[in-house]
This record gives sequence, C-alpha cells and structure tokens, in this order.
Amino acid sequence: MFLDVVRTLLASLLLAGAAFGAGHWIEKFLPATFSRLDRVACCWLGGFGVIGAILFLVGQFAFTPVIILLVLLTGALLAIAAFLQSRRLRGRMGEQGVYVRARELALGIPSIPVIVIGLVLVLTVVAAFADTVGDWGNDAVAYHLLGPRIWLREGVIRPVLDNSHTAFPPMAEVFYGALMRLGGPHGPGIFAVLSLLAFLLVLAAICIRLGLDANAAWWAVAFAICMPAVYTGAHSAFVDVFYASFVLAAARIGLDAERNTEFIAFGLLCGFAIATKYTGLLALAVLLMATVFARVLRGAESKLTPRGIGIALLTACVVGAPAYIRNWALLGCPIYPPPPLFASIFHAKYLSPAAIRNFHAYIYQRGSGLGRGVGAFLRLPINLTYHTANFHGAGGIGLCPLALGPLGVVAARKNEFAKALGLLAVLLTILWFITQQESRFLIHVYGTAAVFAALGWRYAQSLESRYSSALCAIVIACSLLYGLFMIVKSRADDVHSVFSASFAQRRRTELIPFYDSFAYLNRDPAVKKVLVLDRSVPPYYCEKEYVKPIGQWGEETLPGIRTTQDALQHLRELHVTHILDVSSGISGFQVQANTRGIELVFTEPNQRIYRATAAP
Amino acid sequence: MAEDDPRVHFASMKVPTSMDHSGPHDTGVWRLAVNLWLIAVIVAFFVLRVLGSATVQNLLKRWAAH
Repeated sequence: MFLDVVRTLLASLLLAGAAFGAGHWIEKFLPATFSRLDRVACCWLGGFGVIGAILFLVGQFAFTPVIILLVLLTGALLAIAAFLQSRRLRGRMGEQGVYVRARELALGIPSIPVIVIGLVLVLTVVAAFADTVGDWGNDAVAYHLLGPRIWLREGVIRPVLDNSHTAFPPMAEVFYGALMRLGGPHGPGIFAVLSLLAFLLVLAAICIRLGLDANAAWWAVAFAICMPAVYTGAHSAFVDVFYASFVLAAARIGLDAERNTEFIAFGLLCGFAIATKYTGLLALAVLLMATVFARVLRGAESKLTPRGIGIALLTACVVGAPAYIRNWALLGCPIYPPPPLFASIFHAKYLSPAAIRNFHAYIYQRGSGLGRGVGAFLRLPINLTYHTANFHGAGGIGLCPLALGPLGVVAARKNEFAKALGLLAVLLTILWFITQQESRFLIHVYGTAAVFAALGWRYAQSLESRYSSALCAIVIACSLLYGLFMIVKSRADDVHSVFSASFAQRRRTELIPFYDSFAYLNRDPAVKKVLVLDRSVPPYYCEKEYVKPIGQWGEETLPGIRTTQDALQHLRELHVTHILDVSSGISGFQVQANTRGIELVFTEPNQRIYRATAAP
Repeated sequence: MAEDDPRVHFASMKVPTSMDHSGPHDTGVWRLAVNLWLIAVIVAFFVLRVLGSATVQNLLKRWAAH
C-alpha cells in the first residue's frame, strides 16, 4: 500500500512538473502587464494542454509506457531548465520586478481560507486512493476510465465502440491513462488535486486582476473550493473543473489581449478547452464575444479587433481540432454521439437512428433542470442556491454567490474587466440554460461568482456598518461549513475504504455489478476473450479482452450483428473463449438453455458464465 | 536576454486594476437594503436547506412521534 501511494504521488508530481516545463514558453505570449500569479496559472494550465495534445497525437500511433514516460520526462526536464533560467533572471533583476509582487501576494495569508482549502485538498488526496466502484450510471466506470484502460491495453488511443462517450474530447482522459500506467490504478484519482489547484490558481489571478488584495483572493478561492457542485466536477474522473480552468484562463488572457501573440495565447487556451469538452465549442464563441466587448469598453483600436479575433479563432480551431477530425474519420461525425443538428448532416457509424434518438431524449430529460422559460432563467440564482438537486448539483454552490455576488457587481460596476467578465458569465449561463442544465457544466460561472462574492464582501465591509460585517460573516460561515459538510459527506465512504480493507472489500462486492463474475473472469487464466451480452454490464472491471456487441447507448459494435442472439451465432468468428450472461435491471438471461457449443462453468444469482467449447 | 523577457517590462508597469468601493447610494437606506438582503438569504438557507433537509425532517418526525 505504501509503495502504491508513493508511486501514485510521484507520477502526479512528474505530470505537474512536466506541465510547468511544457507550458513555460507560453509566458512569452502573455500580456506584459500580467502578474507572476497570472503567468504561473496560465503557463501551468497551458502546459497541461500541450502535454495532453502531444500524448493524444502520439497516442494515435502508440500509447505505451515508454511514450508516456518520454513525453513527461521531456516536460520535466524543460521545467528544470526553466527554473534554472528563472533563478538567473531573478539574480539579474535583483529585488525589483514581479518577484516583489509575488512576495507581496504571499504576505497576510488569512488562516481560515488556508485551512479550508488545505482540508479539501488533503481529503481529495486521501480519497483518491479509494477503489473505483459503481455501475453503468457512474461516468468514471462507464467511459472516463474505460477509455484509458482500453487504450493502455491496446497500446493506441481509439474510441471504445461499445461506449460512444469514449469519443468525447479526451484531454483529461489522456492524463488518466498516463497516471494509470505510471501511478497505478489510483493515479486518475490524484489528478483531481492537480485540476483543483489549476482552477484555484486561475481564480486567484482573476481576483488580483479585478483589484482585490491577496487576502480577498484567498477567500474567493475558499468560496469556490467549498462549493460542492464545483468539487463534484473535479474528482471521480470528472473533467469539468479542468475544463472550467481552461475557459477561465482563456478569459483572463483574452479580456486583456492587445498584441497578436496575446491572441495566440488566448486561442491556445480556448483550443485546449475544446479539446477537453464539447461545450468548449460554445464557450469559444462566447469568449470571443466577451473579448470584443472588453476591447470596445477600453477603447482599443477597433481596426485591430477582427485580426485579433481571427488569430484566436484560428489558433483555437487548430489546437482543438485533432479529436474532432479523428471522430470524423473513424466514426463518421466530428461530434460523437451526434447532437440533433449533426445527426441530420453526418452519418454516424455504429449508432442506429433509434439509438441516437434515445440518446437525445436522455440528454434532454437529464438537462431540463427546473424548466427553460424566461421565468426559470430569472429564478436560476435562487434555484441553484436552494434547489440544487434539480440540477444534479450535489449540494449546490453555497450562499456566497447569491448573498454577496450582487454586491460585487455593484462594487465593480466601473471596472471594465469586471464588466466583460460579468458578460461572459451571463452568456455562458444562457448557453448552459438552453442546452443542458447539469450543475457541474457551469463550474466556470460558479468560479466567477465566487470572485464577485469576494468583491461583494469587501464592498459590504466598506459600508462601515457593524450589522453588514456580522451578516457577511454569517453568510460566509454558513457557506463554508455547509459546503465542507457536503463535501466530506460525499467522500466519507471513499476515505473509509482507504483505511479499512474489510470495508473496501464490502464496498466492491456491493457496488460493482456482477462482482463475482468479474472476479472469476479476471482470475481464470483460461479466459482470453469475453463476450458481454448485457449492455448494462460495465466492461471497465474486465481485465481481459472482451467484445460487447450492443453498447451502453445501443451502439452496434460489430458489422452485421444487431442482437445478442446474432452474436451467439458467431462465436467462432468472434474468437471468444467465455460468455458473460446476466439477468439485470434491463433484461433477463439471454443464452437459451439449448444453445450448442457452450458449457456453463460459473453460476451465481443473476450471473452465469459459459465457456465456448465449439462453434454452434 | 533578460531585457526581452516580458516580466522585466512588467516591473515598470502598473497592473490595470480598479475597484470602486462606494455604493450607488452610500446612505443609511442603502445599508439597510443590503442588510435586509443578507438576512433574507440567510433565513431562506435555514428554512430551505437546513430545516427542509431530509436529515432534519426525519429528526423532526421522530421527535413528533416520540
């Protein structure tokens, strides 16, 4: 156990260091007015994007331990070189320059936010060592971790045909694969800490840009990390916090961009957002609009705006395109599974029209929130704060955004950057509202709300009213304590399973569907290739090669085979050695008693395993 | 060259930040409105999220039955 922990931590440190090295060159592209904090946040995040893009591109040909190690070690060496260069530079600059400002930022660190942030991060590190458990409704099991596991097994990055969601832009999943290989099975869990740190760094940078002091920036970061809806989007292989970090870092650069190189940096971060999540495409449009708005507000030369926007757009498309081109080439549609408009233009392979319709219906039902009318939109601040369950919110966003955010808007009403940032948040919320109202998809806006809440708190303090200060303290205490309570509660079982082997085992047997069958299949050396008949069975737990003719969303993964009965007729062609047949919530056993060429070798309630003896 | 590094330029530049701490109506009425708003958010939190939570509801039911 101890060695596993060390291995996982070393792998994540290597990745973090490699990101610093890979993103160091971006510094030259950032606006000269950027603080040290801005530079660290944007370069580190950009470094993750660079490494992810390289691993994805190289992974189309080979995704092996050697390749992964080579890429990460190169990044780490670049980081060391950058660090040495930075020390030399500091020596030449003496006590002047950005380092003085960095030191100023470190002064007056408030203890409560530091304790709160530390608590959440330590909890995340510990909980990362819990085993992944869950059924096909758990996104990590269904596709976030399934893809990387299969890529590593096959040595190449390809969508897993039996789950169309593995074709989603794979920036974060590439890191899960790398950490899985170098850090062991708990490697992906620790990535939550890295993505949270990146998110918090970007938020702090935005706070400083808005004129808040370091003390208030720490509080804003604490507000954000204590939002259960934000935290949920960081752990258990969710990519939402990582994605939100790219969007906010892009905003940080874009809203201040003047020179062509700065627009390239802006486009780069937008491209990484696109390469992390499909919604990055919508965010790109909104980010460009907010950038134009910011330029108009500060009276920038209007002739240069189209050129800057064009540069950013082109850069974003080039950086974000590979996953979409891959999908188009392999699956027939750049966005896969196809959304309504794309479904009528492209012919998506492996998905029947009925499967696509069912997918659309599911997404619509899942993302309906509390309605889509104007009234529902105007009630969003209330509903997101108090009725979080309707947005799959896992505890919501705390009280600070609703209570203090409006005051922050008042306080920053003359700040051009704040106006542009506010517009960006409103536009992102509108997009979210009309597409899919899943709470964690709005994390970039929650982060922005935390920043405005910190502004609002400072404003309320400036009113010099004893009651205002006391009420703000109550709001913040409620927000942080409630958020911490929800976060700790949500991860209590994970932490318990790390320290109790018996509880971990009980959890595995209770929460992994058909656990006994997977144990048999993984243990028996005679098992070479498994035919999985039921579409609800999560193949993530199968350590052997497998084939699943009908995927989770009705994907038809084998040409000419439309049903499981068809598959049973072609056992020889499929080269399977064993068949996993289960009685699940969606169907009963599918192997008929009189089926020839197979022999029952394992049986438990609701689960049977057959050995293929000969072709029928 | 250190002179080419944007960080060197930053040393002589001012970060363009500004925050106006004054409210639109820095009066007693405005302060009262702010305080009432904060109280409303806190009260709604206790009613909807704390008292309305399943845990507290179960406790209340158990107490009532007892």
